[in-house]
Amino acid sequence: MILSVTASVLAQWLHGALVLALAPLLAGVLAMAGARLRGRRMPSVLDPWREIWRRCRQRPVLATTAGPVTRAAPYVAAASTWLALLLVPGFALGMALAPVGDVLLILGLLGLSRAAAALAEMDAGTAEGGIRASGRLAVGAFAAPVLLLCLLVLVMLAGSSNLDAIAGFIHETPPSPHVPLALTAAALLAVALAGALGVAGDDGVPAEASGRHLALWRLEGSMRLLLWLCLPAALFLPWGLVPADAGPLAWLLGMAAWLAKLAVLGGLLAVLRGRGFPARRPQFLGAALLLAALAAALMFVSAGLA
Amino acid sequence: MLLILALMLAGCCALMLPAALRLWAVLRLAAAALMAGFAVLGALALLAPEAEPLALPLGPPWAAALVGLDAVSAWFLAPLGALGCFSALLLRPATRTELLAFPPLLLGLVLAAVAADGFTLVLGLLLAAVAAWAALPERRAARLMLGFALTGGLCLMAGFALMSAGAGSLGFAALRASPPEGWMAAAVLVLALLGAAALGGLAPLHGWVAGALSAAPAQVAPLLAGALPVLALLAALRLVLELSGPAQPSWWGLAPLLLGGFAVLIGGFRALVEDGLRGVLGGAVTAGLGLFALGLGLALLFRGSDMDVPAALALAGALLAGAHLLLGVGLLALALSVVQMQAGPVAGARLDALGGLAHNMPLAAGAALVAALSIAALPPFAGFAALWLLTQALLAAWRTQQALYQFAALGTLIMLGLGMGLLAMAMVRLWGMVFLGRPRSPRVAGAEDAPGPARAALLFPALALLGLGALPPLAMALMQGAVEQLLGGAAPASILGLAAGDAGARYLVLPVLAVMAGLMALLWWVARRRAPKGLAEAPLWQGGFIAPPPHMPFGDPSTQVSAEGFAAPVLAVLGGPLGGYEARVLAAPPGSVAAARFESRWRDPFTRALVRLTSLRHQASLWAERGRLPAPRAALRVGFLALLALLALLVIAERP
Repeated sequence: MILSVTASVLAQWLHGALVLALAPLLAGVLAMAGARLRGRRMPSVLDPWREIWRRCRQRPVLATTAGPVTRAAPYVAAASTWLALLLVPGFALGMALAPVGDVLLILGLLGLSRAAAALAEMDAGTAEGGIRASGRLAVGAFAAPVLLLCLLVLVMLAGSSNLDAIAGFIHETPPSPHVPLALTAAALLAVALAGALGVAGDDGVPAEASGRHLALWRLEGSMRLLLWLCLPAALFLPWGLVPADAGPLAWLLGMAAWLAKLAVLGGLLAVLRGRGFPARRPQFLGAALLLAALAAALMFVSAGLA
Repeated sequence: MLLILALMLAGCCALMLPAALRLWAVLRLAAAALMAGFAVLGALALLAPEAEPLALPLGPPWAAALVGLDAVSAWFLAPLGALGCFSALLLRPATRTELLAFPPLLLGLVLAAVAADGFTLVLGLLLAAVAAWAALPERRAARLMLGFALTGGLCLMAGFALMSAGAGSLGFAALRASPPEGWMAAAVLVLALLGAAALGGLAPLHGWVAGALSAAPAQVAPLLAGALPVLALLAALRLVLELSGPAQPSWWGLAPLLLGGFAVLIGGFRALVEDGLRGVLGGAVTAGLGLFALGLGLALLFRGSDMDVPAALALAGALLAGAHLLLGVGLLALALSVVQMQAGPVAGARLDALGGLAHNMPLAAGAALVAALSIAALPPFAGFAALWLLTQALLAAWRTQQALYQFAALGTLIMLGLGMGLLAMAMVRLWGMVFLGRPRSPRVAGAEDAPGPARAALLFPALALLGLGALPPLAMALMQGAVEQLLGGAAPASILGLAAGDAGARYLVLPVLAVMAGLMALLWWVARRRAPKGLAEAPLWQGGFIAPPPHMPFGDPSTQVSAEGFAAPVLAVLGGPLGGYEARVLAAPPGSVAAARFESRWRDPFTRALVRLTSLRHQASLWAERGRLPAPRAALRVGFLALLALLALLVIAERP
């Protein structure tokens, strides 16, 4: 009992440290892959980390019209995205925070960090900041019903909205073609891509941020990217997840599988990003909504026939 | 306890004296103290509810007005008293009519909350509505409100009258003993919903809300926004859930469920497209009321299907949403009232005239931020707990095994998600445009923070809302009696711990708060450790706009985002279908050097349709010039196809 609790806490700490280290690395890998696909010289994978480190040593410069929101928002946003990431199983199931890991809570935490980013954009009072805040919030609003419908399908399958329980359920069912699940995966992937791809000219960081605030925003942006890859990986590619109390050797196997899954999804993202894929986001999200609604309707019908 | 209640109700009547003498400071103090007393009474009654009602020496001897402090009354009386106390603190010197209208408003609201018979309940609601009508300086908005309120009151009264036909009395105990059956039950359902929707402002009968709120004086707006809608829906809750008994069919839940989802969507959209402060507030009211109605519908649906745990979950969500409407939306209304008192015209302050108030009004900014984030249903605030409960119940609706309910829940889920997303965007826009950025007018630049008593009216409700968000299990424990009374049985233990059933997910607030605080401290420590101390300040980079002219010392307001511009990404997609939004760019004629102009307008299509429907002249002209029907639009055709597909799916699913 005590051993398994210790193991789950250890796994959670390891997971937290790993996502923190991996997030900027993933951003670096994506930048490298993007440059390779365009036939340019590749930047170093470590570049995002180096930048975060460098920015941390700079004194932030605030506009005279900016206030406490600019100073507090990066900490709130980074902490809530990080917490959301802690709740998504990476290499192990049943980590210490698993009972807390409700999908609705994760969506709420993402909303909180999005709201903090939007308020930070609006703080100084530039025209550009307001427009960027509005665009980011609108994507969130259009994505919300899709995510809820995806959750509905998963709840119908697994009987709970706890992410750990859903991942565990899909992990234990033998892989077989399941049409609603595939449709849900497509819808969720569409939302994830819309969230991860970013608008042209907007790297997801408040334009006015500088110094350690900018470092935190960069970290937050890369963690959000990682989250949008981890979530589909945990839900729809649950193979290789190990129990948290299985021991360090099993953890290593789980980590290898996790990295492989992230590589597959990240490669997909890099290719799509190279093609400038979702130019018309509301329509893109509308199609995702249609897919998710179809998946839920199919689930109803199959439950009615069974 | 009931005797004290009766004495305090008499005290409410006595408030008319200082109002008539225009002693506004006395009225402020007395009303605030009295309403605080009601809040304490409500809190006490939550711990020890009184089952037996007390007959007031009012009305005919065979049907005296009854008041009681059962668990449901107490659950609403406690926050209502608090909201009344805080809005009384905003009283300022005013006309005699405005002062005279305030005590009856409070009395009506309290009566509606503690009523133990149908007549007193409707009387209280109508008294409050008429008092609000008298307090509104803008007659057109006031007339519209009164029209809706009278219609709603009439419907509710008719519902109670139908119920009492079998019972012979209007008292709740007698009504509970003889639940309605057959067509009478269906009529009660329709009348209750119609009455509550018209009186409370549930979409699509929300046409009066924005106008009435925009015109309301500072101390009336919080009550009109937070209290009246909740109590109107409380009447429907009493009628269809408590008094009609548990034997009613589950399809009763469909109408409130779909209406509620629709109201969330429309409320979120309205909050985003309105450009007045109070208009945005009106959208939040409609959306909050939608959440309440949605929970009521789900509770009915599950109770009819004998599913106790989801029914309790939905009802707990509905009650929490109701309390949040009183406290959260009420707090936002209080903060906006203070902003309008200090920085703009009390009636009709617009987002495009404000900005940068966080520097001058930190207390109002903090209170409004707590309220806005809570209304936007972001964790760890109270609004999120209510939304969590309701969404969990909605996600369990597929277990009813009936295709009709499943598809209704699916549609509601889409409307709920989109509506809450839009509402969150609207709340961020509201707070950001009012409190962040640069001042958009000179008066705003010189505004000062809330004066003396108004500070208390911001600080305490903000603390209460934060507490409610951090300790929802406590709220669940206090609400247990109300849930048991309404559902007529023991409440399942799982709702106490905010769990969706025994095997389902849980919302654990305190661990989330603890981990979040730990992560923030860690980030702060790491970021600060290497960084040089302090911050540098620099003038704002205006994004390439030319320097403002000398008569604009605070910069050019048009170089910041406007209210409509912020909503543009949503208006481009949803503006047409939901709000009749039209925008066009009028280019200057060839050869002219004038700038192009951007024109836009929107009208609420639902209110417009309602006005047309009820306008005799318009109907007569329609009959007179009825020609051939216009060709259906593409959207209609697509909708028809979708409907056919849905019907086909229903047929497949219902096949034995």
